[in-house]
Amino acid sequence: MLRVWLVGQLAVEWDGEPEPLPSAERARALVGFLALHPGPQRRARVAAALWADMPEDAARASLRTALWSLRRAWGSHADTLLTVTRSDIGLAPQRLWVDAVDDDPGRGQLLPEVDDDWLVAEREVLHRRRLAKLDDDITAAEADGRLTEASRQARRRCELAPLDERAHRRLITLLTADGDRAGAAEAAGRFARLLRDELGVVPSAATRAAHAAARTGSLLPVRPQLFGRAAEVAALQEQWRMAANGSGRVVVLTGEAGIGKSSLVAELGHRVGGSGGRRAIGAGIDVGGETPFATWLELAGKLVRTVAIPGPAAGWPAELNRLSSTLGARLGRDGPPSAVAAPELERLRVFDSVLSLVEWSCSDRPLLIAVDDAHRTDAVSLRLTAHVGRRIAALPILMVLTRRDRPSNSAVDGLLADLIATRVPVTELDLAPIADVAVAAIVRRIAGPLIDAGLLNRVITAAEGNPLLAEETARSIAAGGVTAPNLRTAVRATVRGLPSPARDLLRLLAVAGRPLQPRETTALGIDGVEQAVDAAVESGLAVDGPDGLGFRHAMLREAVYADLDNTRTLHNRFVSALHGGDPAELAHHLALSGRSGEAAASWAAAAAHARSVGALAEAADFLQRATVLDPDNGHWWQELAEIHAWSGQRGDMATAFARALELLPRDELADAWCRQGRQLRTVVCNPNASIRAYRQAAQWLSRGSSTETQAAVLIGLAWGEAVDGDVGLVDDLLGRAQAFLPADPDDETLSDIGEIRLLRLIRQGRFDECGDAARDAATSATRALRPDRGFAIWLHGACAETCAGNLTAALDLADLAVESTKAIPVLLIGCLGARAHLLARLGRFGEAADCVAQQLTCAERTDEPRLVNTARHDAGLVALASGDYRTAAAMLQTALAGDFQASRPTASLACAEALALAGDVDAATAQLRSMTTEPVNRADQPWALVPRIARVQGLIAVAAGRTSLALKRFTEAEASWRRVLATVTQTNGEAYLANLVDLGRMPVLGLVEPERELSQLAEDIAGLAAGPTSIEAT
Amino acid sequence: MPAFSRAATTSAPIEEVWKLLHDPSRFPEWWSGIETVRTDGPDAYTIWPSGYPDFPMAQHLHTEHGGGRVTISCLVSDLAYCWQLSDVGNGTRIEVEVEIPEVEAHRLETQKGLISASLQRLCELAAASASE
Repeated sequence: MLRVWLVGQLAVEWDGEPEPLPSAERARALVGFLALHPGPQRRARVAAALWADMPEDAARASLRTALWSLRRAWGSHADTLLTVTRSDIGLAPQRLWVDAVDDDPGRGQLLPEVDDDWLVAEREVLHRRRLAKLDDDITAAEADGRLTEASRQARRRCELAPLDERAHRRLITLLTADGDRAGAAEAAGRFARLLRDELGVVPSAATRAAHAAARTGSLLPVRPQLFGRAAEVAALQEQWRMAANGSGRVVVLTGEAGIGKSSLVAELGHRVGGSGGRRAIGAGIDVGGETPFATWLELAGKLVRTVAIPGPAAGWPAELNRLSSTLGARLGRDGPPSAVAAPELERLRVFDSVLSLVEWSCSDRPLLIAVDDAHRTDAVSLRLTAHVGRRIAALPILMVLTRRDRPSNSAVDGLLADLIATRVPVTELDLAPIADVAVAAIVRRIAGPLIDAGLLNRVITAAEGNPLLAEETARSIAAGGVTAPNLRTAVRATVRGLPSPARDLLRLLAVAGRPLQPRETTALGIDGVEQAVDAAVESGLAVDGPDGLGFRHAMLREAVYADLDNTRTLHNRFVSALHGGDPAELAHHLALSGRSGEAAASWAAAAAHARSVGALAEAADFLQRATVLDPDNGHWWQELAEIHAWSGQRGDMATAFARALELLPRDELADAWCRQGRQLRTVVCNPNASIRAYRQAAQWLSRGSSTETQAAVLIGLAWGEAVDGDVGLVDDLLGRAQAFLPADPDDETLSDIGEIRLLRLIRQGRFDECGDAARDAATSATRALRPDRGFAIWLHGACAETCAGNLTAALDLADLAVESTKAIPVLLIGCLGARAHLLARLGRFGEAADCVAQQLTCAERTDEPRLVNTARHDAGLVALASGDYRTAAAMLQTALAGDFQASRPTASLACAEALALAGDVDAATAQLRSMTTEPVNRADQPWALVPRIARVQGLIAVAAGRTSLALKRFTEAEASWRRVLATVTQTNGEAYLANLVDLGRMPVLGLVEPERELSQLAEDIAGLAAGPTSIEAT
Repeated sequence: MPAFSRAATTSAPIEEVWKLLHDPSRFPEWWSGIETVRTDGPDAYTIWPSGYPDFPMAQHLHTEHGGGRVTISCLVSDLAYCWQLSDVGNGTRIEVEVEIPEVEAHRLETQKGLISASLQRLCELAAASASE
């Protein structure tokens, strides 16, 4: 790599060794020019820049001389470091690092010994980089609560831009917040003198307000003044009081736009802050805000800034990084969380980590969470709001949602119905228009106390009790206008009275649709942006607060936006100010700029992010937008096919994939089919279809296909054959795959191959060999940081050991599965289920009960009915095994009312068994009958159901005191088991995999064991001789 | 495609009939025309028709997803028997629909006779099993 230092002192280094520099000043300047202009440069352009005052021929001659000096200095390296042709010159290395571009911008001057005109613009760029870097550093330090550091950086910022009023205002505010009121007052005074001496002006009202705050020491943000809302404020305070005492609740503020919902939330937030509570207020934004979890990103971002860092045992802070890497980092957990391949599990991980953050946030003080404009909130944020809301009843949390009364929003209605159904106290406050006297107070505050009575009455009539309309109409009057017929007219009058840069700023703010950070405001390219900000704030339309510069109310933004006649140009300008960040937002603005191709690419990037956090509906939506804008990109159709697969929409998946195949180039079809095979192997779990896809991939392989693709196809085929094909082909396929793999394959590939070998052993019924195979494969998965694969392999090992009758070895493996997923509750749930069943089989019923209780708690936190019912099912079986028949019956009946990952007819029979053993003959008989209506698949092992029915009939007969009938049934069951005994031993491996494919779950209960069933029946029959009570005791 | 259906009601509870329908090893006890059965797997088995000890016929048994419907298909002749059970309070109603491929149409009348007899026998066997 070629490294060039231009700031302060010129230096050059090639592959870590310093390069000598020419002594000639122009030759040194040439190095600087070429470093700042990478790639070949036209000689004429270079000469004109470095010898601007010479004629062209002389300048080109001077360039040759400087080049000669440079070549002499670099000697044998010159040909490597320089590109020289008759027309162009440049620095040759592709890997070029220049401190002024690639490093922290530092403090020195750019090429201080050079005094060329071309450097002015370069120095300005560096200057802006320094300002932007300082803005970021100040924001980060402030967010972390390091106010002294933030103040120090702000002071440096002021030194670099002495006339930047926003920078000075920020410094004053930070010093005040840091308790350095004297420093703040001194900074304010110095700035006022500077303005007076340099420009002959006085600081703006906003800066004077900051100065005043410094004098009073007020740290609380300025809040909107409320009129006519005393009753609502009192009601909210009462709700807060009850919540703060541990009776968590939800308040919904409903009303028309501008009626004062946001102001009430701000007022409540102010009072909560003043009383020592914690608060996080977020707002739904539907302009370019389709980003999944946008509202909770804002809320979580505010919470992590104020909470204590949790201890090292807490796994959830690292999990927060799934949502945004800055969240976990603020809690001392850098780096990405471990991967979970299934998007739905990713979503559950995000939900659980945010819920943990909320619980942590209210562990030392009561918490206010407010979602302003919930009707604008993205869908998955609303789901997360419900997820958190369901759990606050026993926590010191007040959750406030605001929404407009029209149009009705079914998603918000559903959320509230859900909360009420889960018995969370929900209070709805409908905000009525404020009284005329309150409207009059608003108007007098803005337009002055001496406003003409007739005019005042006209405003009162026009406002109809809407504070926002009253305020804006008053501003319009104060600005010299007349009574406006509506808000849009009033806003138009206010905007019209502003200087051009402020109007420009407000229009761009309206286009942005969200508050902008200082760096973004600067990047808008508005001349005199500081004054424009001040004017916008003083107009009352904008506020410059902790969340950035934005409109005071969404209605004001809508009014400004509605008046724009050049939205395309403005969106295009805003795109230029966006650097990185949210791809959905970028896509939104690119689309509105008419830049379809770029917008499509950004929508695809947004879809990838949405998929990574499990927001599948959003991912599908983004990809559909991409395919509308650019319908001929096959990759996006394939991505869409995969999203449909994850969403369970198999028909749509097939259609999208077929479209992808039509559009993708022929040399990419092998990869496309290979990816499809993987989807069918994992998401869809259709081994036959997966094999077909991999066979298609094999047909499209060519000499140009990569070795990775060749290996992936063969490994995919091996998986299909292992699970549902010719198991004898597995070793050959894996052997052929090895020819395409490096000598030392990566751990992920090793775990993949190891798992296939494990499945082959299972299919062959070679359960005794599975433990070691599982350990090898799972260890590779652990090294590859893939707990999502590792836990499945550990569980396969445990289940296989169970099938082999090695219960203690199985428990060891289940323990490892639990250990590997402790930080990932959605994966832990299944591991706890397996462990509980093994403990029950070993007679350790107390530990088993604890384990299923933990499983149920984890499952309930996910709000996923299938996981919760599966945990109830597991808990029911453990209770049945331990002799707690009432609990067993209750758990199983609840599970059977929904969906779960286990055999329904088997669970139904277990429930009937529990009821019979509890002595409830009628309920047991009814349960047995209902079992006959359950669908029966391969995984239900129907041949095992027949003898089990007979046994349950026997138990019911025992409970009814009909001993001879009981004996008949037990004998029938015994005969039935003996008939199937031989067949079952031959099909164990198939039954195992049927369980996996049909139920999506390994046979954690173990497979059917006829010998064990016969032993149980022998005990049942023996019990008949001893009397019915001995049956109860087994 | 030739098809026919038959129905009957037995006093036996539904679970008694269910057991008989899901246990191919007991088919010879009630299904006229089936002499021997060998279970091959969880949902597969082979029957030998009465009088044809050298003529094995592989069968497939599965339950419809809605529950209560048991379909038994012959993998050799493509005959399909769909049995439907319903609890009628003090007994069980059994309905069976039989579909016969065109090439086997000549077996229609024979099948009608066999299935009627089988249905009758199934009802009697289930009732007998239910008694103490």
